[in-house]
Amino acid sequence: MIRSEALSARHPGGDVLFFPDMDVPQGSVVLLRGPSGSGKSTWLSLVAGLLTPHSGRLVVADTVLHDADHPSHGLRGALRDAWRATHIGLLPQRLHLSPALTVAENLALAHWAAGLRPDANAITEALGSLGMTALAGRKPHQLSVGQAQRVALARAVLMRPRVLLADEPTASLDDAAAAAALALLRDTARQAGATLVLATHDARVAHAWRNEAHIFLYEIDLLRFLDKGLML
Amino acid sequence: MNVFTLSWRYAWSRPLSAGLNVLMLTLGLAALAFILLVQQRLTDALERDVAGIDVVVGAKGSQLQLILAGVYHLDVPPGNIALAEVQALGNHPQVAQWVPLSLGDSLAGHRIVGTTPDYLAWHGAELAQGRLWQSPMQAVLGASVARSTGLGVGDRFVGVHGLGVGGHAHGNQPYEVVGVLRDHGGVLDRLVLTATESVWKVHEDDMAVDDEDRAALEAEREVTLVLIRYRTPLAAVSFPRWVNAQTSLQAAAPAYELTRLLSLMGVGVGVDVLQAMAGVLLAVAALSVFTALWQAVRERRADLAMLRMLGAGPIRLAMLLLLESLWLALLACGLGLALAQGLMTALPWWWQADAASLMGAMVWPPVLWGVPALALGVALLAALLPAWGAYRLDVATLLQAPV
Repeated sequence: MIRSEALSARHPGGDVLFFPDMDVPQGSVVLLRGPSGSGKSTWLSLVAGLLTPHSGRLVVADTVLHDADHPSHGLRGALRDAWRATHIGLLPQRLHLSPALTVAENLALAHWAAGLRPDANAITEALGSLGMTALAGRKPHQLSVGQAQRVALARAVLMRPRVLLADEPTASLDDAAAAAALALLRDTARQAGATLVLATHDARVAHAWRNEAHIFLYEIDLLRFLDKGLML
Repeated sequence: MNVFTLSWRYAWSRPLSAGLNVLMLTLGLAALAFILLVQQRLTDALERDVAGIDVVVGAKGSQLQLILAGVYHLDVPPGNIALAEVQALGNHPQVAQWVPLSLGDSLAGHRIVGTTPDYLAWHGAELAQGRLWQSPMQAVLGASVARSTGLGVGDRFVGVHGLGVGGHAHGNQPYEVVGVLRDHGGVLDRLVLTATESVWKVHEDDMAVDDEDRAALEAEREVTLVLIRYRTPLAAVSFPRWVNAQTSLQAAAPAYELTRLLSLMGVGVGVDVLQAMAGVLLAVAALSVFTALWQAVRERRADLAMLRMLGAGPIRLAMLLLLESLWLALLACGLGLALAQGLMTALPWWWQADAASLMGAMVWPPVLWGVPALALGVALLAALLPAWGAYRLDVATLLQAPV
């Protein structure tokens, strides 16, 4: 679940960006829309605990990340890092697979970052669920774009996060690949029981999920909240 | 995968850059280690030869010459001294032990030294073959002498008058080799040792024309110099002064003359210059590692941000960078020390000369611990700023970077 009230973030330039209040139940799919620069990625960073809000209250996966009225209730520093490791999965626009490591080792990074011993079974299972077992020993440069995205997705869900964030997952894909990626994200999130948040300005996403039930659509724009809790 | 394996993999993700950095660090550390080892060996060798010798007494002349002739056997002695005067010195209350040395002849450029077995005991010499002399005209060879002349126990040789090649050969008085010393690493390796009486006998046999003449020569027996150990350290203040003022002899303290010699040769300055050069080499290597790490942080900022996204704290990222640098330094340190020790071991073989008693088998003097310590310092210094950069990474901005 994701719940935000009067949430805002300060841009490096000093502008304050206000976000709509949200109350997203666990296991839902959120489609975050808006043009480039509208604040989608900033909102993702807030939910992931990478940015500290300027004001308001933000609760993610039953954890109070920030509460302007009760600052001590929020998570900070190492606690927030540890929480993020186990509660948030991120599929960034750039996949950031380490070229020095194999596919399996790239997944093991999630364990290392969380301070855990690598779990070979979990890695094999995550790769297997995405049909990537045979590629475990390859380096990222030996993968196709689609394969690399699957590896990044496997890494994002390895720790069974409560919230899966995807930033422009279809930006560089053709129609067929984009449809496959969306289906994969949806299925993976569903299997993990995670709330899926897609930040995109790609109209194909809304089009593809036009007939899906329980998809929350939010449009975010600088200083302006356009649409709130619209069910497609 | 742990932070050590991960940092190793990251360090070698750009093999050419990492390899060049390791090479530069290795050369700097090897140069420094080699200089330290040579300096240590030089000091050890010089100190080993003066070990236990508090003062050298000989004929008046240059004190440095007396030390070079009597301790290092590198110069001609200033003259001889009467045996009676030596015996008087031996009875002095501040003298605990004394050893006479009689010089004058040589074998293939190696000095024949007439002395007592105490001389070998003072130097801690050990026999590799045979035994010590028990009567005149028996000789014990230093290890280098045995190697260069090919002589062994049971062989005979004749001495040549003077310390160079081409002097008058004492053909009627051959020596018999009764022992060969083990490698000593000091001056003994280069000497032929025999009883003092051997030196007297060779020259008396050569010079005496009849029994009366021989009796006169025996009455005027001399030695070249005397090595003395004090009974008390306080003697160092008064004994040389007494010798120089009250007798026809002169006393020279090896420790003082050695310091003077090194100062005259500018050895200390030379070592300082070499160390400074090694320091510059290390500084360049450190700069190179810093540049490589800084570049790595810049290139991998997004990857590092991803690690932050995955839950790694900023301190873990900084540690990762520090360890990358430490891996390079550790490798370079191991290679540098191996290179320096290898050079020390290989040079004698390369030169095929025993002058390389300064080199030889591997040693680890305490001063050499400075090399890994320095490597560690260089690694930490080079990684400090990059690690700080990783610590301060703006994760959100980097993750939002477009494709």
